[in-house]
Amino acid sequence: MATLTVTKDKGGVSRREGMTVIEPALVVPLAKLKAIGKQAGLDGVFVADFVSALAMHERHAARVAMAAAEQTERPKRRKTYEKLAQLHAERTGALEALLAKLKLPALYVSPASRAAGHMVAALAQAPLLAGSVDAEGRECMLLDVAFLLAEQSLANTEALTAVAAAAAASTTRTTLVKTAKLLAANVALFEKVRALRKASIVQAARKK
Amino acid sequence: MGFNPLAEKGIPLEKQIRNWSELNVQPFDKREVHPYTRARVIVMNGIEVESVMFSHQFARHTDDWAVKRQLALVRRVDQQQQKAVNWLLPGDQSVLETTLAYEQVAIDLTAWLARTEPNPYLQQVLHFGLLEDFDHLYRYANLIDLVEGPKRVHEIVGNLTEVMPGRPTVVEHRHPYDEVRRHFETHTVDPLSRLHSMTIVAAEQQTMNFYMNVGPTYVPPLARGLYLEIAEIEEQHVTQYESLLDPLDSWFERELFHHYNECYLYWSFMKDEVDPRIRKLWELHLAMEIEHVRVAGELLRRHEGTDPAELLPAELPEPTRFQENKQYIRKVLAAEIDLTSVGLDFVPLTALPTDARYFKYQAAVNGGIKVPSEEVIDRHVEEFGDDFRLTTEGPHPIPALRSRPHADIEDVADEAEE
Repeated sequence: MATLTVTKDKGGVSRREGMTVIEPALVVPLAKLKAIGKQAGLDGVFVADFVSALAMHERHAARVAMAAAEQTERPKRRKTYEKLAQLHAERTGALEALLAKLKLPALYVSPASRAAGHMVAALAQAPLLAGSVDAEGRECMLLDVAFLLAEQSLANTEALTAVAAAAAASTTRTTLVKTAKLLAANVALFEKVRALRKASIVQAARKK
Repeated sequence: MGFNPLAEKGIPLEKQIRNWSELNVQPFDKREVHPYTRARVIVMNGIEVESVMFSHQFARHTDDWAVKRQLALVRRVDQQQQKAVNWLLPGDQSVLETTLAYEQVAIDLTAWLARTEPNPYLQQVLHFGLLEDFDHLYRYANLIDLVEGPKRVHEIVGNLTEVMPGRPTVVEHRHPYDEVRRHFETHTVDPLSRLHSMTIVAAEQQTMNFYMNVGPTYVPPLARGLYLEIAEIEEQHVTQYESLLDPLDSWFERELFHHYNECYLYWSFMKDEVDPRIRKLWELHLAMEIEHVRVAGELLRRHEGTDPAELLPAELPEPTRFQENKQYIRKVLAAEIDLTSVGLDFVPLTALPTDARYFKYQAAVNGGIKVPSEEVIDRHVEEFGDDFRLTTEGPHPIPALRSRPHADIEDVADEAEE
């Protein structure tokens, strides 16, 4: 079961960087992060932070898709958004499981994941300007946000696959490869969103 | 099981608008009111003002009609709450008397928050501000003696808060770069730390705004000077405390957190309120805020897909209370009076290099003039033979700050060297 909203109560942990302060008991030691890269010949801190960022992207994307499902006035589109939310949530679960298999807390929130979350949140701000577009424009806005998040998920899957491939033989490599394969096996819906966006734009253009 | 606003039923939003008569409440009697009742009134005024101003800012970042109108309605109710709360202050309470009460809030609220703060860095930030506000009370207490005559201080603060020097105001003026602090991390922050940070920002912001506006209503140049000098420190404190908030939180999340904090404080203050009439007001506003939390939660769910129950704790944390903090403050004074800040961190004043920007800033604002916060003490000594203090727990914990008719800046430097 994926955690879509990370809080201290649910087990959120982090590491301090720059401007942030974390309660000492909730800091993940650097040594623990470094350890996952040791045998794999990777920078363990970077990899842990990267995986955490992928998970955060999926969490936010799942919530944004649920919000889009709530806001769209098109029943078919609602179903697509609901399916997207489900897929993003499943991917969150897979990435949390990956962190756990790497012997890290499943709810590790890295500095990079803060940035990933902020990027999604910034995109999700677009509908705050829903008042200055018409109904078609609002639907386009929602779909554009969902599309961009799906594209990022696709790109993240490719990046994770490449990182796994770059790792030396080790349990870390095996674990990364398995998760990357799992994620890559189920991206058809993301590709559909790209097609849906194109079709939707063409349809809107024809109407006018 | 504790109190969870999400599980409670509040007053429906459409039934929350009150008429002028309901808002124009009977003020409390300044001679009879418990100092901590007055303190709670001042805090809740600041909390409502912050909530209203935040909502205005949010509204300026969206043209979604449904969002804007919902914000406008909740904001109007918050505005009415602010009036009902702030109008409890009586017209015969002078600006300086109210000022003493503001500083008592700044001291006893900050001390409580620090005592119960789980994050060591946030606790240190609170200690840092505490010692400065503690000194402001001492400066204003001497001013009111000069301007309005004796006995005013005790009437306002009672025996609950000691009045004596803290970190001298004259040394508190730092370069703006040195007021910025680190912030909590929103996914790991203790719910209490979040509420503490939001509360202290609102309280200090209200104090800053109050001094900014009432300072020039005085005729004596010394009073005008002291208000403007301390208003500048309050701005420093707002810069400091607002830094603690994680900027990652979205507009909708922050709208929810504002109303959650209002619930938390009305609920906290309701528990300790000794004036039955005012306790009823806290109860009424709690019932209103429960509905505001629900409305903000619905906005969050619709626009960001976040379930408010996932974001908020299962129950409110332990209540925030006004209590005596005399011994706690004395300990903090003894341990941390000589601190200043450099960038994001706190260091002893004596550790600064001679070319530190602190000294340049000090020279720019204090150099070659009579600094009002020092002059007020000198004038009191001239007129009454000594400075005004109200101590119940023995001599000042810093020997150099025990009754002294000479410059505070030298005292602190000497103490640090010892």
